[in-house]
Amino acid sequence: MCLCIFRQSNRHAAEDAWAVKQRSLVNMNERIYHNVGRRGRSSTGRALPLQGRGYRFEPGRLHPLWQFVRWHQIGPTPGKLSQMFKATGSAVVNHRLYASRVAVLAVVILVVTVLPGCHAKSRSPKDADMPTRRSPQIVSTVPAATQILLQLKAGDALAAVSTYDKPLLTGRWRKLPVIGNYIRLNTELMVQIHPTGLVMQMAPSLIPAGIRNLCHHLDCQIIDIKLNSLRDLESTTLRLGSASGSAGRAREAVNRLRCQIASMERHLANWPAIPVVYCLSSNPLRIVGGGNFMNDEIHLAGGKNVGRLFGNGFPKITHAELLQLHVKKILIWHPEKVFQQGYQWLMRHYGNKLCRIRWPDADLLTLNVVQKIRRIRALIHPSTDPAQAASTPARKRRSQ
Amino acid sequence: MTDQTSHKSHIPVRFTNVSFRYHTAPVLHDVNMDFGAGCIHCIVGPNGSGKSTLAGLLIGMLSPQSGDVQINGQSLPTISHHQRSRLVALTPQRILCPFDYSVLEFVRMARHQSWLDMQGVESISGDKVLQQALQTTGVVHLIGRPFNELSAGEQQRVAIARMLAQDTPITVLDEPTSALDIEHQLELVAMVQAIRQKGGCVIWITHDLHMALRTADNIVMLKNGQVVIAGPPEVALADAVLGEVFGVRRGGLQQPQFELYSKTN
Amino acid sequence: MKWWLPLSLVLFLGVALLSLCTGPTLQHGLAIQLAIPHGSTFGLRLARIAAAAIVGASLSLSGVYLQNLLRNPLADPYVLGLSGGASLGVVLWIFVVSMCSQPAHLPVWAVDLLSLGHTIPSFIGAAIAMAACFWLGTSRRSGFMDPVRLILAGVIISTITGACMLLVNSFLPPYQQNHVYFYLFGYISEITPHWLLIGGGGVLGASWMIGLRYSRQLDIASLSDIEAAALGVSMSRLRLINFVLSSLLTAASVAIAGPIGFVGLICPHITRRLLGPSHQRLLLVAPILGASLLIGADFVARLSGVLLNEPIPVGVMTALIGGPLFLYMMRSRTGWR
Repeated sequence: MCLCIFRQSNRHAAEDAWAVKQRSLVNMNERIYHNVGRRGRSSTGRALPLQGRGYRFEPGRLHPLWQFVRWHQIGPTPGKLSQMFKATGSAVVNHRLYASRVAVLAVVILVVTVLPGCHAKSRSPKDADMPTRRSPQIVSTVPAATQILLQLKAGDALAAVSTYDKPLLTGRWRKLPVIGNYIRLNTELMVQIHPTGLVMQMAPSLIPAGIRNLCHHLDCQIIDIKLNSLRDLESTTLRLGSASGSAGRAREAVNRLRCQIASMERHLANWPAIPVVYCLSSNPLRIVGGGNFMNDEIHLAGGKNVGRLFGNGFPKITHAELLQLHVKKILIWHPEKVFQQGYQWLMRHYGNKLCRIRWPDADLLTLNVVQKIRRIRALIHPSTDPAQAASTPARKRRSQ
Repeated sequence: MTDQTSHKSHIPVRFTNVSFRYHTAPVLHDVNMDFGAGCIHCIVGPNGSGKSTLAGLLIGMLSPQSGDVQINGQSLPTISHHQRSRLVALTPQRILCPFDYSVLEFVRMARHQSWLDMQGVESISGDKVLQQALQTTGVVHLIGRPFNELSAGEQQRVAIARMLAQDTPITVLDEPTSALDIEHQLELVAMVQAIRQKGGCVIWITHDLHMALRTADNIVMLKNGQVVIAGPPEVALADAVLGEVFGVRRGGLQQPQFELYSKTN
Repeated sequence: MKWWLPLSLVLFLGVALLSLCTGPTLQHGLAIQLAIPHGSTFGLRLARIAAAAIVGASLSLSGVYLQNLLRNPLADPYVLGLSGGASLGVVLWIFVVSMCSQPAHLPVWAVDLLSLGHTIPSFIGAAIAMAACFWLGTSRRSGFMDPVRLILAGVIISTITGACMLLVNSFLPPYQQNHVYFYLFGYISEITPHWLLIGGGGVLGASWMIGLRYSRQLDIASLSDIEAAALGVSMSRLRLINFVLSSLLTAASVAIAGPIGFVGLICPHITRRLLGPSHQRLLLVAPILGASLLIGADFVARLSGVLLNEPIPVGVMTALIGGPLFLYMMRSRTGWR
């Protein structure tokens, strides 16, 4: 039995081509493709199916670019690393054409990116040698610190603010550049601004080492502030004042603050404490606990913060627990722009005991804390005229 | 052919008391087999008798719990992967290709060792073995196609081409004709006979008795993991053996049906 | 030299140059300027581009190895639970630091260690997750690092670490929870420490070289076990190489920039579609493509930060770029393979 493998004429042709020319398998494939392309049928006589655009494996009906790709896919590159980068001498003609196109593309990219730089004028001396005495430029990542600086009339010392500051700024301060949030700073902007101080409010170990290095490199002081209580407010104000070159105004502000708070504490005796709960969000129900400045605000406003029972900080409580508390007033921080679920529930259950606090910086401890306390007092005690203080205690004692 | 006691070190494949278990299910019990060079050995048996396990043991993928598999006198665990792939080549029963390699890339995988051995650059045009393998199996016209787009028969032929490209003295074929049409089955038979002429040892695992009868020089009959009989086809496929192993009886034809077909040219 | 390697290098250099030369400037009201920077800005931008390139190339290379290990073109570097482990490590670090915020109470070495940042805890977390995956993925029944068991192990580890992370997160005060939230999106910082960049680059280079040396065997290993054994490839060794290199690369990139998704999934896939699945090309081009993609994504994210108030995180940007790209590539196929 004679088994003849080559039954078709083009296989004979392929064999002859190898025998005669010793060309690489790439070229043999090329010949097969050409043969197939001319006839539209495979060597065994089967008709090839038509495929859609982008299908790269069909012999005979390929876009020239894909033919080029496939020819080089089966090209030989052996295992040794040095041989891999050696040209293998393929006989495909289009190589040089595509190489020239690639070179043109590379030149275009380089020109597009480099040319504008040639026309840029030299930079202003922000990157130049820094002078020994710089005017104070402070970058603030703490919204409360920004507000304190603006209240100290030291806004000119403010060079950049954080993203959370944006909604609170008015007037010409809205145009201040944004440096990012408290852990992701725009380092490039920092370098361009070249500040003298960076205000942060973080545990010292959490300050990224890179920011510390950067500030050291830029000769910028990291002002790590604490704003938990009114006492912290005083020290922070003094620090910010000295950093922004308005130490005098800071001292005056602190003294004024102390006097106002002292007088408020004296007047506290005139009013009995009203049990209140201060809610920061209605779903989940997060309330003001003890040990922070909002608790002090409530205390100075003549209220008794029932939330202290739940611990320090800003604990979360359930609605059932809230219903069990005996409160005269519920303060809810509800600035206009924020949609809060659960507000309807509070309205239903507490009706006229609910007082909305609308000012957007209620969670910041700034120098206008006295005004805030007065407003809270007006909400808690509807009759806030000190002259009526003598007459109200009797009425209030009866109603409790 | 089966008894090569005077040339024990030259026996290509020898199984000595091999037992194998898949975790808890025993598959092979105490199997003793010799496969000599220049022969076509067929391993036949009912489904589940451990035929493919033998192939797995032979290429070193499975290791027997007891006993020894020796190739050219050397125990299989002592041969490195590199050496073993130069000695034994396999066409698996099921061929998987999760990524879309082309047929040429698929067959070229068999030659990956040769470039490590060569001092210089070896390009595909100089790889005579590869070209020969592609020509012999008749898949030259398919080399640009992705492997997954071929029919099952074409995929099997490509796998056989890869096995041939490995250029080893021992070749194992695990159910190679399951998807092939009659023309290509005959071609495969001729190919295998050509290997035998060159002195290679062919181990053909099949459940097709007609094919075994036609092509084998030596048949090993397995049942339930044990060798029932080993010998030339007239002995191994006798009526008594068929009745015991398969529970079938041969029909009235004197010749197997397969001989009705032969190549026309 | 084939055409694809120079083209990919040109793409990479082009994107890098574009990212280098573009940036915000304080003049003209924070406009974007296209010019070659000088001074400190040059160093900062170069550091950022280097970090993005290293992370992108590492993730892409890790994706190649993992797709080879799991024999599945849909595997991405985080499927084995490494990002969950790293995130849990970082969250625990934030928890520990915020609980003991008084540095005076800690010994000096502890303060120094804590001030190094979140890179070391994230690496430790990733290493623990890798060890757990390795231990869970091997069984006597299925063999050494069976792909199916590995995927299951990865799902388990991801779930457990995700739950633990949420648990620890709930104990943190609200302003610290933002810290965790920012970390999870990934961030390529200009002030990445130099030792981290050098370490990451070293890991990348070593993995790359090893992969190129084994490129032929990786091709074979992506077929089945029996074919690999027949062709003389040691599957156990290759599986170990794949797993270890992929995990190292992922851990390094998560330590540098946090978990950035999608790059490790689509870059090998795109390279495979353009150049074929042969690992020789894949290993040369996929990391370069990954680096370019991440540099581009970071560039667009920075621009968005200038135009909008809050910059879009890099992880979101890679998903926004990569997702539609992936869809487009899938659309042009005739069927799902």
